[in-house]
Amino acid sequence: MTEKAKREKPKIDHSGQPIISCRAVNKWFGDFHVLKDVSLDVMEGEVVVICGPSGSGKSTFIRCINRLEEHQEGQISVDGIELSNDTRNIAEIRREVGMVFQQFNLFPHLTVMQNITLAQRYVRHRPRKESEERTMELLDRVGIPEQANKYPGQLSGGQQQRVAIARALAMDPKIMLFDEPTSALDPEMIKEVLDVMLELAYGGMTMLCVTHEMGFAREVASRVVFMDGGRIVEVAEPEEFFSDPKHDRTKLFLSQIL
Amino acid sequence: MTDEQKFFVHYTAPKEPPPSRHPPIRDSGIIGWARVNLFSSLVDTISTLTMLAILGFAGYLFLDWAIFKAQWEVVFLNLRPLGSGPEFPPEEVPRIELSIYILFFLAMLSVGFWGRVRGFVFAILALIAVVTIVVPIVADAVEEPTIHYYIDANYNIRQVNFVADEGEVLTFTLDPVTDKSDFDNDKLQGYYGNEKLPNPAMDAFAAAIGEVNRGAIDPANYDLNLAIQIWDRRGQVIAQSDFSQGTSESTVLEWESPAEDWYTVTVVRDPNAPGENGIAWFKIDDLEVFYSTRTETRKRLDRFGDPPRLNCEGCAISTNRTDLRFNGERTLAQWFSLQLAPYLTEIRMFLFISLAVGLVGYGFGQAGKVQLDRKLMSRIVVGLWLLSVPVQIFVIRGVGGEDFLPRLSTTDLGGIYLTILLSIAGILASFPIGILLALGRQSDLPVVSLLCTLFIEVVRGVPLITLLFMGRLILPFVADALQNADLVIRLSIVLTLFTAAYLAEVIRGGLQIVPKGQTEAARALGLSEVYITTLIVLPQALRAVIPAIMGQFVSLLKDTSLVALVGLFEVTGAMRRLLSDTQTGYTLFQREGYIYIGIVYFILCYVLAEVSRRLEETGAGAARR
Ligand SMILES: Nc1ncnc2c1ncn2[C@@H]1O[C@H](COP(=O)(O)OP(=O)(O)OP(=O)(O)O)[C@@H](O)[C@H]1O
Ligand SMILES: [Mg+2]
Repeated sequence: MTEKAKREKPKIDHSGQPIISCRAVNKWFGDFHVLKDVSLDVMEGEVVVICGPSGSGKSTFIRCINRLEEHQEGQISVDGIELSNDTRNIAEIRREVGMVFQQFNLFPHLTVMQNITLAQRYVRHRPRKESEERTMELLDRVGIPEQANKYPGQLSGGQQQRVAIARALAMDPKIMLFDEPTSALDPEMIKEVLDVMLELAYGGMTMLCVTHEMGFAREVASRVVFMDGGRIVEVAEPEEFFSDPKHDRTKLFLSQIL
Repeated sequence: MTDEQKFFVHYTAPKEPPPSRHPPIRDSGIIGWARVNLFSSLVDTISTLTMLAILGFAGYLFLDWAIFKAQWEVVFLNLRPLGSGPEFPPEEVPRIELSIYILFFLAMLSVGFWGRVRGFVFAILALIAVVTIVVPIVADAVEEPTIHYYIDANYNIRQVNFVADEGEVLTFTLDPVTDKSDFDNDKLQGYYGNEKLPNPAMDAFAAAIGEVNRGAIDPANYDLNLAIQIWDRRGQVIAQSDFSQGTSESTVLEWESPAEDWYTVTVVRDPNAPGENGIAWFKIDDLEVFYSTRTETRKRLDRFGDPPRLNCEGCAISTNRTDLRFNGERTLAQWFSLQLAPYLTEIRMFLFISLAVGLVGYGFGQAGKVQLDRKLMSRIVVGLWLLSVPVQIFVIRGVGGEDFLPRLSTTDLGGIYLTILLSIAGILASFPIGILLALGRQSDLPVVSLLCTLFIEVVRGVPLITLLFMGRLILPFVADALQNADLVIRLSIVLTLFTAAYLAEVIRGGLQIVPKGQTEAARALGLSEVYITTLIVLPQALRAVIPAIMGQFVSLLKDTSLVALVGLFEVTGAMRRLLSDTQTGYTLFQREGYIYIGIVYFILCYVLAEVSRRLEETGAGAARR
């Protein structure tokens, strides 16, 4: 841990082109207005933590970024590609954006190895040998190389989530989306997953994390986004966000969770 | 303060955990199982004993009937029509056998490679093999019972073919029955075991009894004018008794066989004064009648040529050996010799070749699993299956040669073979169609989804039998291409679509239980919708509904019996036809016939169910959540 603590947060240059850019994104579920004029730019290498009360639209927002949800107004562009109904665009963006879910969503009928090689083979068209090597490398990185031939049901929650992260990383994404990756885990397992995420962050991966792990936010986040009622209420660097929140809603929220 | 009290006040476990031990002996093994499950309390014990008593009694009743009274000839004398269909040319039967061997070989090869045969199955097969060899040998020594024929004025004058040795002396007796008291139910004994006739209307003797009892016939008015005739192979009458002249005396013909040959005995009425009333027994003593299995028959045919054909007025509705009625209760030894042995002799060859072929296939499968790369081996197995389709068609349809594989019409197929054929074709074809229908019904395209829904609901809303009639009568007029397709193909299309509609609903249920997170995760990885469906959703959905899918296949297997009603003779149809043939007299043996059919279906379904169970348990199907 001491070694990690010594590491530097990557410096973010805000002058260039953002890798994710959202402009006045609006979305409705039927008549229910979930996202209201959400605008946010994320630079390459940034770790942005999104927090906010339940039902505030955090998941919906990051799911819009890889088109698991469709927004109705506004623009989202990822790595210079604008999200539209063009399926080719969608496919291209999904190739660049990895996602980790709260419920892991591993494929229960496939082994860990098959879970991770599947998309490499059918999306990236890597030969089997290469994809298996890549898989073992990633499993090493998330610390569970010995589980390669087990089925997800035979792993603990923390191990499953680490496999899910490896599965997303296997596509060599430029951006990783995390939707509450630790909230379905027991305290003992949260740390093992956070360690993997920290290492990713220090490695310079662009990350968008919905999480309430404020320790994680403090340590690596370049910015913290607070959402409430479908809109962004406050965006700030973590030191400022935690020590000197501006908005009353943020203060109330922080007072409840800290 | 005792030790135990002290124990829980403050406690720290020792550093080393205690080693694991075996469970206590009394809880494992058969005795332990029985103790826990059958005799754990007084109520349990009582209900266990009651159930055992009921089961034992039912089993006793059945076996008592099946062994001592039932007439299984309807089965073992008709294995050809039951196995390959009544219309199928007998000389081509080896083609069907070959087809079954191929199928069985491939099935066992697959089992050997992907699965495993449980020990008890081998034990059962070994037992069957031993019984098949031993019983006919032992049974050879048992003497056959005396045969009685029933004769009356109207139509039951019959012809019996037999082979007699040179110098053999035989006695034939016609016994008029003139006393009404002879017609009480006791006299029925020996006619159909110890029981009353099951369907009196269909049987002359029973009909006569009815008439006698109603008073329509007075046996005392006996005036039949009958004589016993012996014919030789060339169709000459070589011996004849005097006509009975309406007297109630027994007519006896004692006859010495001039040479070892075929003969025929029949009872004729005097064409000039036939007589109108009367009932008589015809008895043949000490006669080796035409009484054996197909192989025995063939031996005699080879040796003596065809039996004589009678062509005379007033004689003989020609019947075959199956007319012989069993007289009285038989012994266990007689059951072995007269019922079981002939059956086993009939199927022995086929059974042994099947077993051998199956074992070889299984051996190859097991060897392939160990010796070859898994992928290569599974390609070989799948390739062989695919290759077997044209081979099977080739074997069954033929090539139109004069002697070599002459062309056969599929409508001639029948019996168990057709049942298996329709089932396998239905299973293989309905599975993909069912998947497509299920996916189609869930499709985002409204037209596709509407069409699939419409098809599924219409098919499910109409009884199968109606659809089969439509397949026979309407389909050919709707689609030109189907005009020439023969009945077997049309009906198998109907069965396939029917099963597919039900499968579609089962599979749709499976699709619905795959969590949304699965598709989302796959989408987030960039997999295309086709891959998501085929690699992620379907495998999980199908796995979840394996038991229901197999249930549909079992239904299909049983539903094939309905094609009997629209003109094909699969095993039920073949049996129905046998049992409705009044000439052969099989009408009496409905119970034997349908019990046999039941056993056949049970065995087929059991095999399917066993496959299903293995699929659920092993790799391809184990739930891994
Ligand atoms: N598919 C849907 N259809 C209709 N309403 C939805 C749907 N998905 C989410 N919602 C609603 O949209 C709102 C935002 O949901 P979202 O899942 O984005 O919230 P969240 O901030 O992630 O909350 P949580 O912290 O509980 O995960 C909620 O009120 C939810 O009820
Ligand atoms: Mg959420």
